[in-house]
Amino acid sequence: MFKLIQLIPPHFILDVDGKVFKGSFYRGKDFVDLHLSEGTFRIPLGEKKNRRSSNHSAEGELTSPMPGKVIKVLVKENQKVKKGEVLLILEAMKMEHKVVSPKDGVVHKIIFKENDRVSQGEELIEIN
Amino acid sequence: MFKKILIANRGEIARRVIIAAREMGISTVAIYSDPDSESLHVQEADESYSLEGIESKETYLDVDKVLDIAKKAKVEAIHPGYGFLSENAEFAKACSKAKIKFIGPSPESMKLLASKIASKELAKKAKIPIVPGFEGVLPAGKELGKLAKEIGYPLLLKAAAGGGGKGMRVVHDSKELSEMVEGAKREALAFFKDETLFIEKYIEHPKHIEVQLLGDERGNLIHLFERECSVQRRHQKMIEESPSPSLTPKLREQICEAALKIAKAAKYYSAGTAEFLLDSKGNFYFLEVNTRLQVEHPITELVTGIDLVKAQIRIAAGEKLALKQDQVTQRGHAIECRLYAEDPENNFLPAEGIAGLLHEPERPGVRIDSALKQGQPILPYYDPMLAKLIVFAEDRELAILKMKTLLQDYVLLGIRHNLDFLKHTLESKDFISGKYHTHSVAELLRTFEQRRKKLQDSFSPLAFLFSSQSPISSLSNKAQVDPLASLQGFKNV
Repeated sequence: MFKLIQLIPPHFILDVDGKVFKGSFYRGKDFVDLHLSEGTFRIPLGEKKNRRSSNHSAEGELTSPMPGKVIKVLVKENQKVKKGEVLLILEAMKMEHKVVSPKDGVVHKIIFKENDRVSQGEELIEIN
Repeated sequence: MFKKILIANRGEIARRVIIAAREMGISTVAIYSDPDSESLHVQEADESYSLEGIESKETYLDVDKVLDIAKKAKVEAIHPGYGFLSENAEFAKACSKAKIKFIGPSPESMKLLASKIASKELAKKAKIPIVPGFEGVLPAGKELGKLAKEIGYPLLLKAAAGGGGKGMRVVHDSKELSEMVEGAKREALAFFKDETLFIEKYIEHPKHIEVQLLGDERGNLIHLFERECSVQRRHQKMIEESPSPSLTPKLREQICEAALKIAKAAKYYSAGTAEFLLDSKGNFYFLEVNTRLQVEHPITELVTGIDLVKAQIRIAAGEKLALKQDQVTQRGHAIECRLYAEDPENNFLPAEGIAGLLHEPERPGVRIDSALKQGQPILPYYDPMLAKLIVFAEDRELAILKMKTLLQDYVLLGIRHNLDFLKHTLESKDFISGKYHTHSVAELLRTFEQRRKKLQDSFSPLAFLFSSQSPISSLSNKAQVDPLASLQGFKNV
């Protein structure tokens, strides 16, 4: 569980599962460098087209782009949905993130319900 | 005293020489390659001239270009720094011909000490121990056995035609001698098409001890005690300290005396360093003399209180050495860590990047010799050394703590570097006990990799914070900008 306590570039204060990390960051083209008291770390970043960071897959399953909480599910199973329609809303770092349908289809399975906590990359919903 | 000198170098050492000269009231001239045109050393000199080129050989190593600029700028002397032309006797001669003083030793002593064979002869004559060996065609059979016994086991067999560990064998006793010789010969032939081998005593877990020398042109020569530089990787020094934790007062005296003897025999003047290997039994062996100012000179400066660059300039201007040997003492403890542009996750291969975010802490007892500038691209054309992080404290324990804290607080983002490995080494039992040697890094790298992987995995999930999905992805790197930083490059007219 990540909680952003403060962000004044290039400094940040994060709470990760109760542990506080203070550091600075530098955003490169496809990486971000972090400086923490534990050391300097480079985290490669995927591109928008990269499967890992995109929350759409070929099969119509949608995965969570970040750890957070499902605060609202706007559709029901077997409901017809249109491309771009908002399916559910995630909350992370005090900000809301709308998960939209990548295509026209039918809601096949809703894996999480309201107030559930999700991890990054977890499958949220299946659209057929 | 000189009125104007040219610094034939770049980066942190150019800055080092420029500040020493300016503090002596001497005007400074910088030279720069195309990639270095916005460098700090260029901005800090009184005048600067372009070398018009990129690669070292068409810029900093181009004797004609350097001398042309020196003549155009009407300088009286040239300081070569370290590396580049600093140990080039031909360059020193060319300076002399152009009636420009070369700030360094005489071309003759440079030539003499550059030759490994000649300098070993000098050491032998001065009765200074050298690594026992035989640099001729290896005898065979009984003769070989006799030679091996003379030198003493363990032995090292080396391919005469090459290095890199190929054609190298360590022989522990007479029983495995002939087998090892055959193996080494085969490998040498396969890799270098030459099966000639050299044989010498193998020094297990050696320590690298070097002595700083300083002499004037009137024959006065003193030593400024020792430095230990045993933390090395691929023969590249990483951490140096002074005094050496491995020397007893008697050993210190013996090594420093040996260094003086060799320098005197070579009629050496200016600054130089005599290098030795120390084995686990307290025996030391002369390796070579470096006829220039060394990278790690700051730790000697901090412990003795002597500015070596200013001393070099004064000596070159014909002054007498200001200090006598008994006036030189060691006080406190200094450690230097070299920051290199190397990727710890990729076998420490050279890295390229940008000084995206830089914070070099300033606090008592800390000296940072660097030429890094925030926003500056770091290209692979020259030395991968980025900066020297140096601390000075009352004793070794305090110096280690000071360095650990400095390494934790130093920030350089945008390029991969060895900072975390330096910290890992400094925290290791081997380093703290002082029992490290020139092969210690190999084991340290193993434990570093393990620790590193764990930490890297725990921070990887933070990627989402900066990914394109994240609400903060649009935030730039805009750090608090120092308004005066934009005024750099302007000088009082």
